[in-house]
Amino acid sequence: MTFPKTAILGVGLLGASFSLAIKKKKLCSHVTGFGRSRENLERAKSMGILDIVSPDPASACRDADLVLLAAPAGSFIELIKQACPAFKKGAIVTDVGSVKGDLVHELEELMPPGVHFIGSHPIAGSDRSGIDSAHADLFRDALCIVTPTERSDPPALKNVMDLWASLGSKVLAMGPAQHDRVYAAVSHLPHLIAYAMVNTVSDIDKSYLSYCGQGFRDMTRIASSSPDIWTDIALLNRQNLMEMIALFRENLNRMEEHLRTAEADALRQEFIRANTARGDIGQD
Amino acid sequence: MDIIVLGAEATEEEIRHIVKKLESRGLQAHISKGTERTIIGAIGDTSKVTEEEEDSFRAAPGVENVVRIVKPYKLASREFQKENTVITVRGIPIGGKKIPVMAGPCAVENRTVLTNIAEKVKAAGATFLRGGAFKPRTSPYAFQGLGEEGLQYLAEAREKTGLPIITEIMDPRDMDVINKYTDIIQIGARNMQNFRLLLEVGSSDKPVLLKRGLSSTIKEWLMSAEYIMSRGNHNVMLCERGIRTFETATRNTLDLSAVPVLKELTHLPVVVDPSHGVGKRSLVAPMAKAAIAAGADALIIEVHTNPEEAMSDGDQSLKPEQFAQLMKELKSVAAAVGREI
Repeated sequence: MTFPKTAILGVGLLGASFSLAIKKKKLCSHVTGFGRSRENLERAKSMGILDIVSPDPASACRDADLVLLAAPAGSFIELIKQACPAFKKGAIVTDVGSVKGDLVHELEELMPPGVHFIGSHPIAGSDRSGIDSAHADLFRDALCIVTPTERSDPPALKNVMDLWASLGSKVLAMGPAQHDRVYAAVSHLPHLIAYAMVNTVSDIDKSYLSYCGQGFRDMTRIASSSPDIWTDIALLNRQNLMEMIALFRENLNRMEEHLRTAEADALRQEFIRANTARGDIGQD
Repeated sequence: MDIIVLGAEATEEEIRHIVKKLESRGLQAHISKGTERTIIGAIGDTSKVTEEEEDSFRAAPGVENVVRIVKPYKLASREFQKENTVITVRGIPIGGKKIPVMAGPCAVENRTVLTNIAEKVKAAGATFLRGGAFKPRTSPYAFQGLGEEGLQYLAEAREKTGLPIITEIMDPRDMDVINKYTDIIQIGARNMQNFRLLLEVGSSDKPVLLKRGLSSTIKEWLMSAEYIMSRGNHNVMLCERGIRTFETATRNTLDLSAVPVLKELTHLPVVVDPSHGVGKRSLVAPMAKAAIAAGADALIIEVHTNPEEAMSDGDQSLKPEQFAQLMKELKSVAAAVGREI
């Protein structure tokens, strides 16, 4: 499994790290890139992340063996619509998006005959974004979820799974809808809460933030994540996310009730329940 | 249904007929003519073509074969991986040229009986020791197994004989304890579609032997394997153990055609359990031989030193001397099909 020519649409933290990683593993001989900012692309080229800067998605993808969508997920459809006339037969298209669901089916629908889309979600984002934070080991020891559908081509699926595994990821398969529900709970809700938490304290009194300790930093690190990326994710996974917020609100309400009635035991039980459950996910 | 293969003698008219038939279903046809045969690729959303419609293509004049590329199972499919999966357990490969035989009692009853059986099956050439510690019994009043104590006896027998062990899991809550002892986790026929359990063993790094459900189709069976594999555990072997039919002369009907069918559809190793398949001691040996002739990668056979006293499934257990005799006979069958025991 090698991809002599790889095209990356969207050259940020994940796209650039992916390029560095497959180059390091010698899985590809050259990488073309397209993105919104020409300046960023030229810089990526000077840093050895890209070999060719392409003026548009179609020229980036011409003759590519592998196409990686690494722009904010809201732009995938438009990028593919522009790129797909240039796809060569046998090309594999994958992505790094945090939302799958209907998007995967829509992207599958857009693929010309002989071109296969397989959704991927490497759990390797960061509160940092951009090519300066990129590194070749970003995907090592990370989890990567691939989201096959009924229509997925098995050899293409195998190539994509092998690709992530060779970058050091632990690869699991999950249906797109199930993926979105799981990640609404373990990723998208926590991001929303982190944003809300920082806003809450800052609404109370901005100067309070200067008194914060490690706990606040730990809980809100992800509130520094890219607003562009997270606006797309939140909207694309809106239904699941609203359901998770409602469930979160129930938990908060219950704690509030225990505080109102000053029930130490009940409150402690909530804390113990969380301690135990968190124990299962292991060390940080 | 994605590819329709027509023979060399197929006429233009027959080809046109297929193209029309595809177009009437909103699909496009891509024709490629070779010297040997003509292949028509169906382009479009073929996932909506029903199995009945697929059969009608198969029946059309000139058609040799219809190949459906879209299968609901992906990781388990032969298309996903062309080469056979070989699972190595404590140095013993399953799925290669050599055919390992797993033998032992249905249920672990006590230390002495188990050790005795283990030593005897090992002497006869078995390479794995089987034994149930948690038993799925039809009756809630029947012997339910020794639980962790049984696992300890299995581990002791492994210590003594060097035979790796295989035992069944019935409840996700037993995962940790079973993981601690066993080399292969077995999912029994009754749990083939216990999806929680499948996901649980999918996140284990132990190889899994997945038995076919009593009334499950091969497709459903492969979908269950897919559940396990989706969680990252690709070391799955499929075990045919007989299905429910109207026939009463045997306990189940051992579906040996499943073996070559699976060999076509999947890269996973195929194991046959003739003991449960027939449920009658005298029929175990012939079906074990037939299984190897059909292409099985491993066998799992019940052996008990005192079948009459066995606490579970005594009437289908071989006596050690019968097992030893069978092992000898299996060698020539294996040699005839290019395998080894």
